[in-house]
Amino acid sequence: MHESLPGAFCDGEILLGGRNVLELDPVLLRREVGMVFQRPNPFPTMSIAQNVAAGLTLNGVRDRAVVAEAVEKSLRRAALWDEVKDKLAAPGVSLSGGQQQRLCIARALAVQPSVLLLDEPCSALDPIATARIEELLLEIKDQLTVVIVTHNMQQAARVSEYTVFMLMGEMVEYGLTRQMFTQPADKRTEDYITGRFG
Amino acid sequence: MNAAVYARRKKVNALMFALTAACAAVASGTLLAILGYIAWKGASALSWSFLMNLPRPVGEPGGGIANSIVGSAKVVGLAGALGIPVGVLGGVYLAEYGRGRYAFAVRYAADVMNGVPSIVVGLFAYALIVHPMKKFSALSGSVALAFIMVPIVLRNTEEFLRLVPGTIREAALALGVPRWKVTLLVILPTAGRGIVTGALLALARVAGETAPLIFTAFGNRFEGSGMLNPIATLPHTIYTYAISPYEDWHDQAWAAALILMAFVLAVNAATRLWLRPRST
Repeated sequence: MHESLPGAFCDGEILLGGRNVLELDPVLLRREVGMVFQRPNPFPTMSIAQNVAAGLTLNGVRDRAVVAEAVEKSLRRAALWDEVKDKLAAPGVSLSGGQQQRLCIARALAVQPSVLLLDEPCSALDPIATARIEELLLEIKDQLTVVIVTHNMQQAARVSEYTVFMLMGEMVEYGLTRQMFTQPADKRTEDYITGRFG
Repeated sequence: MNAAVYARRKKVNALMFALTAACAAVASGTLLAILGYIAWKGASALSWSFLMNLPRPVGEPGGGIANSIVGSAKVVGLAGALGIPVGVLGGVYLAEYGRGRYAFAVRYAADVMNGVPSIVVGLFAYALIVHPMKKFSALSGSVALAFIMVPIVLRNTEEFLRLVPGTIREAALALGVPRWKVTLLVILPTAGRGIVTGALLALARVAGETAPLIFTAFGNRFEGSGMLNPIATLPHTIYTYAISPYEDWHDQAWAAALILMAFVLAVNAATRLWLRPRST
């Protein structure tokens, strides 16, 4: 994804199932690794159901029963089903911000990725909507790997098992969340979580 | 600040405000005046038979402009069929893939094309089609109009595609959808209304063009036969009738102008309604 941004670069390597992701075909990689963005971005021309199904229908799944089942299952996993089951044909953008974000999570889950990336998924949301998303992350973490980027340290402490501390693009420290927040190994990590900078 | 300065500023403000309001009135008043005058002059000659009949020979009263209406529809329709796909696809290229020197050149050429006098475009179509075929034809008129449409549609399509937020593009790519499908099935529909509107406005614009048709479609007093023969069009008929020495032709020119204006206005109004944001 970073290749579509002018001026972005990366080094090091990321292994997914033993393969370097930079050597994989980006289209296939993106089916394996779902992504949720900072701001909810449902497709404005599509209904709720069409939004969730987009990853399937755009990639050529024609069977309606399969699609309908995937829509319901994904919406349930994203804890949105009960709120929208009676208005699946309503436009995706008619939902509230928090609902839209869960819709985007459902959309990402529908293609059954093995990894879900979330780039500050709650930064545009209020605390109640944030709590719903965090709950849902805790529920789905048994089924797939969840990687969440956040600037909110309490959130990192609440939802994660392992934490990576990144500073200016450098990986400073990686470890069990509990350990990092209680006994950080690096001075910079300690300074950050105690609020000395940031 | 003393009171005198303040009073003077207030006066200048009022004066400038009045000036802008007056200019706005002139701008919109011109349109109303033209519309009103055409409606007043044209309505008297307008009738059902005027719309449905062919022109009569000179000297015989009556007759209509049915051939011009049909001819305009044919010429403009073919121009749209030629020009809109080129414009839309070119706009997709510029908005989605266009970077660097080539895209800059295309964009610049389109902007220059937009400013080229339409009669020059007509001359170009003459050299390109009429001269080699040794024949005026509806086709050559359509090609001339299509050349005028392409840059309008192209730039409009590009602008509307650029309005689609990058996050929508990212969202679709993140689902593992190939780039071409993202463009075709997600981005284009999102910008769809704007693109359709632009295409319709471009059609309305060329429907009123006269100059490029003078030595391409040429005009015809009879029903045109096919796209390879000369054909009558509304703007050209208005032009011919208006400079003729016959009183009843003048009246018919007004009536034809009224019809042309009504068409252009209808398209404009329809696109406004269509583009109006709908509450969801």
